[in-house]
Parts: sequence; C-alpha cells; structure tokens
Amino acid sequence: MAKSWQISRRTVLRAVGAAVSLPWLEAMQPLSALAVTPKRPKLRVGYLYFPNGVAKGGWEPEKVGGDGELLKLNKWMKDLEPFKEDILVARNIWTPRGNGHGAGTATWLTGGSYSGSRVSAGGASVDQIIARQVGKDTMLPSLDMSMKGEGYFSNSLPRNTISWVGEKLPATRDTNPRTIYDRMFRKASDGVTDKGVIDLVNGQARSLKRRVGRIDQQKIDEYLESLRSVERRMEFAEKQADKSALGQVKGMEFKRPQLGIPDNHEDYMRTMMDLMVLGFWSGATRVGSLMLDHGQSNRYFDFIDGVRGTWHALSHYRDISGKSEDDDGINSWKTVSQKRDMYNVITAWHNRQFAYMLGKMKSIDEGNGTLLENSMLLYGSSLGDGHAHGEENLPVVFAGGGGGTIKNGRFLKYRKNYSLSKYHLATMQRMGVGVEEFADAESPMSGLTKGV
Amino acid sequence: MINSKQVKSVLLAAATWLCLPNGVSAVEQPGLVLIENYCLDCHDSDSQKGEVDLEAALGAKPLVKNMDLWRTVISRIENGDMPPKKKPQPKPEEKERLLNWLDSEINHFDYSQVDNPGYEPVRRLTHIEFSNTLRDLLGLDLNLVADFPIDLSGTSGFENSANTLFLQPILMERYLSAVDKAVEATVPLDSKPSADSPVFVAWPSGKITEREAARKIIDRFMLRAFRRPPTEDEAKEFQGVYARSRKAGESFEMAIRRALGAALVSPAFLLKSEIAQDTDESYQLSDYELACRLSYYLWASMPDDELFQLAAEKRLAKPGVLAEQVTRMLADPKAGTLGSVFAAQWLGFDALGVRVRLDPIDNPWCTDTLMAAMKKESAMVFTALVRENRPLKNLIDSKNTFVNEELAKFYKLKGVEGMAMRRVSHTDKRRYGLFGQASVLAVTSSPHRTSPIRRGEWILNSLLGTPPPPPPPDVGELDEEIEESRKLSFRQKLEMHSKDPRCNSCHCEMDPLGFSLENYDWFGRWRTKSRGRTIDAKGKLPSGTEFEGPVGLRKVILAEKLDDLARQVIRKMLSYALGRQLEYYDEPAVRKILATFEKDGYRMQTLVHEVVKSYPFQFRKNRVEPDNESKEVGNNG
Repeated sequence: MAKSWQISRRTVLRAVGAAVSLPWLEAMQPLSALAVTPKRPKLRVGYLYFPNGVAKGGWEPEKVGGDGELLKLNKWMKDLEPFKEDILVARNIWTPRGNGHGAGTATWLTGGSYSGSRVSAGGASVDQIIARQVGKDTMLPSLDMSMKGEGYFSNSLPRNTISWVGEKLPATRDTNPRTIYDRMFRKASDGVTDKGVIDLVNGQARSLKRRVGRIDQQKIDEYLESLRSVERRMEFAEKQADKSALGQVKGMEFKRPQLGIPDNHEDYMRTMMDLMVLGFWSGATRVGSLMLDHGQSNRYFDFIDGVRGTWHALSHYRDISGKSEDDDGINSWKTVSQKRDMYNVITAWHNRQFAYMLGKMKSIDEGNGTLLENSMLLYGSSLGDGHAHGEENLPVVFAGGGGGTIKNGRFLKYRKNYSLSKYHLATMQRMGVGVEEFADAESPMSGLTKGV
Repeated sequence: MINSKQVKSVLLAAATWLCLPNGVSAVEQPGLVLIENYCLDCHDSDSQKGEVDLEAALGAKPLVKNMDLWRTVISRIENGDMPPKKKPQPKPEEKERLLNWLDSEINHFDYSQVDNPGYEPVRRLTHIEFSNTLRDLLGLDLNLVADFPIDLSGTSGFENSANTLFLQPILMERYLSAVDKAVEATVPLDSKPSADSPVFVAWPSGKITEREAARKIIDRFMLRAFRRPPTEDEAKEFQGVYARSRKAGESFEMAIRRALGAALVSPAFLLKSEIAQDTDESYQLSDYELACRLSYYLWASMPDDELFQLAAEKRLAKPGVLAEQVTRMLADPKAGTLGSVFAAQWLGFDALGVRVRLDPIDNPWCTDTLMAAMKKESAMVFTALVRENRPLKNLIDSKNTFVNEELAKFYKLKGVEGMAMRRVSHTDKRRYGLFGQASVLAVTSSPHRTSPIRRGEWILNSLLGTPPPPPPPDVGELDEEIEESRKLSFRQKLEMHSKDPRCNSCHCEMDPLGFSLENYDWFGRWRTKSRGRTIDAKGKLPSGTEFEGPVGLRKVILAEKLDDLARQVIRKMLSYALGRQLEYYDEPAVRKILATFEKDGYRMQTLVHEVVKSYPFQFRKNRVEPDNESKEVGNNG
C-alpha cells in the first residue's frame, strides 16, 4: 500500500513540474517523517443532500445480523454493497422542526426552524460552524456546491440553501465546475485588485461602518469578510506554484473542467463529486457540501430507461392519476407499484453516484488510512417517505471512518424519532469544535461507536 | 370609520400595555385573558405548536406588527379550527368577545399616532442593478453578470429586498473578475479612449498634464461610482492608487485602470448605503441619497448627470423640481425597468423560461425566443401604462399590447413581421388585458397542465394582495380519498374537497377565479376542450356575482376588486421603491397615496409621483433593533 502511495506522490510532483513544497498538503509528508510521528491526516466532513425523500421501505436493508451488522442492502441500494463496511444506515432519523421541501432543506444542517419572512434558519449550519473552526488554515474554509437547478423553485432561497454562515446568512453556492476548480487551484486574479487596493477599500468599509446604522453594520461585515477571503486566497496563491496539473491522484485523472455546465447529468454530478474529493485530498478545504438537486427538484430523469415524469411528481407515488398539482400533465401511471419503482430507480441512481464518490475516496491512500477513513460524510434527504411528506424516518447514510472513531458496517435501528442534530453534534466534536450542545441535541449520537 | 367602542378598546389596550411588562398577559384585558386561557397551552413560547408562538406575538405591540399571523388566528377561530376539538372550547359569547377584540386591534387599528418612515438598510446592488449601473457608469454594455451566482428570492417578492441580498466570498470573487473586464474594456492600453465615453472628462494633451487629467478623470469617476462626492480622504487615497502605479513604472492607462478598478471594488460602489444621522427622530435624506433612491426605483440604475447636478445644488428635494425630474425620468427608456423588473417580479412573469422544459420534439413551437417575447410583452404593456399615464384599470382591460412575429403567430394575429416588438391592438376581446397575456397564464400553470387553484391564488395573492389564509392545519390539499378517485374531473374533485366548510371559505373565492381562465391552456393558448370534456368557465363569487370566462373575469375584477388592486399596486410599488418589506408603520403612507391615486382616477403617473412624495421615500429613522417579528404560520411548503 505504501508503495503505491509513493508512486502517486511522485506522479503528482512530476505533474506539478518541480518538487515544490506544498505547504498545506499534510498528507504528503515523506514516509520517514510519518514513521517518526505517525499522525493521522486531519478529518474532513462532507454533506451530500438529495431532495424528495424515498419511497417507504426504500432505505431498509434486506438482511441485518444479530448485532445490527449490515449483511445485505436492498436492491435500490445495491451499488453501495461494496461499501457496507464503510457506512452506517439508519432508521428513524428525524429533524425536529424542518418540514417540507423549503423549510426542511433550509434546516437540514441547522436543526432549527425556518422563517421565510425573516429569512432565518434558526442558526448557523453545522458545516459552516465547523468551517469557522478548522477553515483558518485552508485555502477555502468550505466548499459549498450545488447542482444547477432545473424547473420550478430554481431560485427559491430555502430550497437552494443548506449552508448558513449565520442564522440569517445563507452561504452562496457554486454550480460551475470550472469556477470551483479555479478557486482551489489557480492563482487568484492577476487583475487590478492588488494588496494595496484591498487595504484601501478595507479602510473605506471600516469608516463606512462607523457612519451607518447599527443594523447595517453586519452588511458591512459581510463585505469585509468576503474581502478577507479574497485576500487570503491571494496569500495562498503567492505560496503556490501553478497547480493546474495537480489533479492527479491514483485512479483519478483530473483536468481543469470545461467551461459551463456539462450536458450529461451523471457527468456533471460526478465532476462535482470529484471536485469535493480533490478539495479534501489536496487540503484546499476540509469542509464540503453538495446539493445533488434543489429541495423540490422537478428534474426529469427520463435519461434512465423506463422512468417518466418529474422527480417530485414521482415522489408522490401513491397518486397515479397524473393529474395532481405535482404532475406535468403528460405522464400518468398504471399502478402505484409502477410509479413507486420509477421513484426508487431515481433513488438508486443517486445511490450509484454516491457509491462512485465513496470509491474515489477509498482509493486514495493517505499513508495512514484512506481518505474515506479520514472523513465523515452525511448523505441523505430532509424528507422521509416522499409521498407522506414528513420529516420522520429520513433516508440517511453516514459514511467514512471519522479517523478511526466510527464503528461502521451496521444498521442503526432507532425505535423512535432520533434527532439528526445529534449526528451534527458528534461531527462537530470530532472536528474539534468545543460545543456540548447543538440545536435540540444535548448529547452526541452514540450509535456511531456502539449499538443503539 | 372607527366607532367609539373601538376607540375605547384601542385606548384601553394602549393603557394596558403601558403598565405591563413585555409579554405578560393582562387580567384587565378580556381578549388577552381568552387567548391565554384557550391558546397559550400549545402556542406559548415554549411549545410553539405548529411554529405558532402567540405569547411572543402578544408581546409585539401594536398587534398589527404581526398582521398576517393575527389574520390567520382570526380565520382559524372564526372557522372553528382552533382551539382543536379535543381542547376546551370558548363559550359562544367568549368567542365573540375575542373576535371583536382582535378585529378592533387588527382591522381597525388607529394609525394616526404612528410616525415612522422606516429605514432602508444597506444592501448590495442586485445583479440587474449592478449590470445597469456599470452600463451607465462606463457607457458600455458589457453584460458581466452572466456567471454570477443567481439572486435567490425569499418570500418578500422583490430581488432588491435587503434581507435576501448577500455578499459572500464567491460573489466577491466574481465582482473582482467583472471589474477587471470592465476596466480593460473602458481603458484601452494602446489607443485613445472613445470620445463619447462618459469616463474620460479629460485626457492628457499639450494643454493638460497627465497628472491633472488623471485627477479630473478619477474625481469625476468617484462621484459617479459612489453616487455622492468623495470625501477629501477618499479622493486622496484613490488618486494615490494612480500615483503608486505610475511610480512603479506602469503606463498612464494602466494606472487609470487601477484607480477606476479600485473605485469599482469599493463598498461605496458595490453597496447601496445611506448615512445614519445621529438622532432618534426621523430625518430627511440628503439630496444625493434621494437621487439614488429615485434612480434605482425608476431606472434600476445610477443617477444621471442632471440628477447629480441638482443634488450638488441641493435643489432636488424641492417639490416642483422633484416632480419635474420624475416626469423626465419616466420618459427615459431606462424607465422600462418598471415593467421588466418591477412588474415582472410583482406579477411573477420574470420566472417564465426556467419553468418550461424546452423540447424540440414534443413542443417545437416552445422556444427561448417565444418566451422572451412573452415576458417582453407584459413588461412593455406595464411600462406603457405608466409612461402614457393610463388609469390602472387598463392593466386589466386594455386592448393594446406589444408583439413580434413569433408572438403574433402564437396569438393568431396577422401582419406582424420580424423580431422587433411593436404595438398592436387585439380585436379578440378575450385577449384584452393582463388575463389574456401568455406570460402570466404560463407561469401560473404546471408544465403541460393548467392549475385553476394556482391561477386563482395568483389573482387573490399576487395581483390583489388579498391572500387566502393557509389551509387548516389538519387538512391536506385534497384528501386522499378524493384524490385517488379517477372517475371525477378535477373540477368535481375540487368541488367535493371544497364542500368541507373549512376548505370552502377560501376555495369559494379562489376556485371560480381560476376556473374562469380554463379556456387558456398551460401556455396560454385558447382551447374549448380539455381531455375530451368541454370546458366550463362559469363561476360565482361569494358576493353572488356570476361570471364566465376571461371577459367576465375582467368585468368582475373591475367592478368589485379595483380598490384591492389599487392598494396592492401601491404596496408593491412602495416596497420596491424602498427596497424592503412594508411594515405596519407604512400604512399611513399607503393610505395617503391611495387617497390621491383614487381621486385622480388611478392614473399611473400619479401613483409614481405619490410614492416619490411619500414620507418613507424621503425620510428615514434610525433603527435600533430588527423589527419584532414572530414566526409565521404555514411556511412549510
């Protein structure tokens, strides 16, 4: 294992063109150094959100052992089968106040309740809290990505927001692979804005802050924060050689993505997943999130054989008339089971993409565990049964070893509603955020290390 | 008018509030006691059942602060949805007393003592404003915002609302690269810039030194980019950017680029901010701030030289001057944003385009260019309404519209050729006015099917500003039994659903409005049959009026709902002009505008002039804390 890792390191350095030092690539320490102080690479956290829930039963494993071991996943989750030992599947996970496509999406990672009139998610989201803590030493505190939306609600704020910098401050999400890549690996602009200009407008903003109302000061702070992040990128860029050819990891050739959004949905999604993996692996960030679609996706998946109708319409699988408010008026179904199967096929399709990402992360050896072992991923939805439209029994998978702190390969069969906030709290604590409580959770999820 | 009983009740309420600590119910207040007895078990601040916190709402005074919440409470109690059947019920006389009290507090509140012009918060420019402002500032139309992360919209409706305009690192990075492109296009390195550029008020020559030319260019640019004169320090610092660059050996042009670029990255350019005066009283805006409010309201862009000049002379706020400027600005093509931005976001037709999947096989006629023309039509009709000072009723019944060849074909109009939009008159009465416009008919439909409920809701909520309350808490949209019956038409199902008295109170108004437009299909094409059934577009309002089809709908709206429409267009326009949601304290201004607007037969320019004259538009008051808002009901969708 160590050998192949060395090869990959050489490959990378050759690609870079010279043996420059890559200050934030901690995983790249020479083996001898590791032998002296065998240190685990720092933990990464990732959040992958999908909308519209799953059909009842669509998340239940087929066979579970006496101690809760995952023996066989169901057929819709079969692509995750090779990763059984790297994941936990859970039953009866629940969010306390997040219901529906808008509010549920917006509060998936905050554990709070959503108010449209105040544009508030009840608190900052777990990824942004962690980013504030661990993002100081990385090029980007967090990588906040979304697949570009399609159809209704593509510009609805709550449906397009899972990350909140503050209670009322949604993190802007990037949808363009090229831009995301460039933010990580290309020099910040060589344009007219240099350090001198930044200092100047910084001073101007501070002076403005003294002259506006108190309420407005946070808007000026937003400006200052954004400016600081630009400045930080410039500083990183100064230390950085041209790493446009950096994206080569064992089994993963990664070139600078094409301009624009890829036409093929699967290519697009895998590119975005690659970018998160690349961000984690290179050390450009330790916190990532990816919305696989907006919270009420009406996307057509008719590129999959046998699937008709929009995702959201299919999620209301018990109504086969094709005439409900959710339907598109051209598709209807013969039986509930026919419609439910199409819905399940879309779930399975997303599971397959997630499996692809797990495969990527598992193939990267960091010298002390794989990238997957050194990560914590949450993959799931803010709706349970898509037809019933509730926030109970949410489909979620917890993946990654948490740096050896998680006992994977099990089905967490909670008997009654168990708050997702407890998982968020557990993650924060592993990432070194010194908190004892989060939203409604007063203790971290214990099931990560033992039975429930 | 308010009767003496109501006055007494208001006075009593006011007196009670004065002597009570915040949030504590009053024994002397019959309404408060009843709410405490029958509601707070579940809806206190601890439980907040269904996300409704009446304890906090009672603490937020006056109660009209949470108008929507209390209106929902009234409707829940009136319909017997609350308290729930299993819980203790108020006696009939208690229920009446409670409803009377809420009615007087909410629907008959005395606004005469309210004196607060509100506060326009600091915000970044919207992408449209950013783009227009750069265009006017540089004299170049560069369209640099195409790859910006989209402006998301919350429930407030307009993109210019400060509470949904965020400036996050990703956007700041886009700004920087847009600024690079902007200055490169503005200042060529190897040739003299274009003579009609508004930026180059000077250029080095035998008569003027480089240093002097730079000073003039940069000073003028800062004034226009900051939309106010730069302070002495600012002027010095931005001139310093030029000087440093020259000193480092860069060319004159490069140094100008750097100075202009710095101004475009400045918070004074990217943020729209007004300076707080040190007082607790309300105060008038400065002339430059007023110029800014005017230009972003009427043009969605920066002020022009004439406005800057009047601001410099401190003459802009003079009533005669101001009115003259408004008239001048409305005549300018830039005022087209009243249709393409204001009306488009108010009526929702800006969302057309992303809603329908382009599919050259199933619907080859549905093209990007057609949808663009549909949006343009509605925008241009609204702009013309204002520019020609027509009465508001023409929005509903005008036969004039704008089409190009593709849209004309869609409407089956003959004799229109080419891509350019032009004015035509419909001869088919069914197409008159807003209800005949394909844009709004399409955005209120699902792809491939109409939604009478959505259309009805759109008329009540967006167009008239009289939204139906959210469905009762334990009632689904259509209950499952009805939903799964395949024998019934949609209309029949809906009628069954609406027989439930609790559903009926809203649906009896919403449904007939929506069904009257059923002859328009999901893209606004006329049809007589749907799924083999002849369309029944007849309806009856709760008032008893019967009507049929779009012609009937127009008549009934003008006869019974024109005052709702007038109030709504005022509220929407004032909200857009101020860049914030309206609060209860804006009600006096709304009423004042309404009085003049009505007296003048609802002429549209009167509306614009009155908004500009209004107290909240010309004044502001420092805000110490965010408004005390309680959680809303029914935001789960």
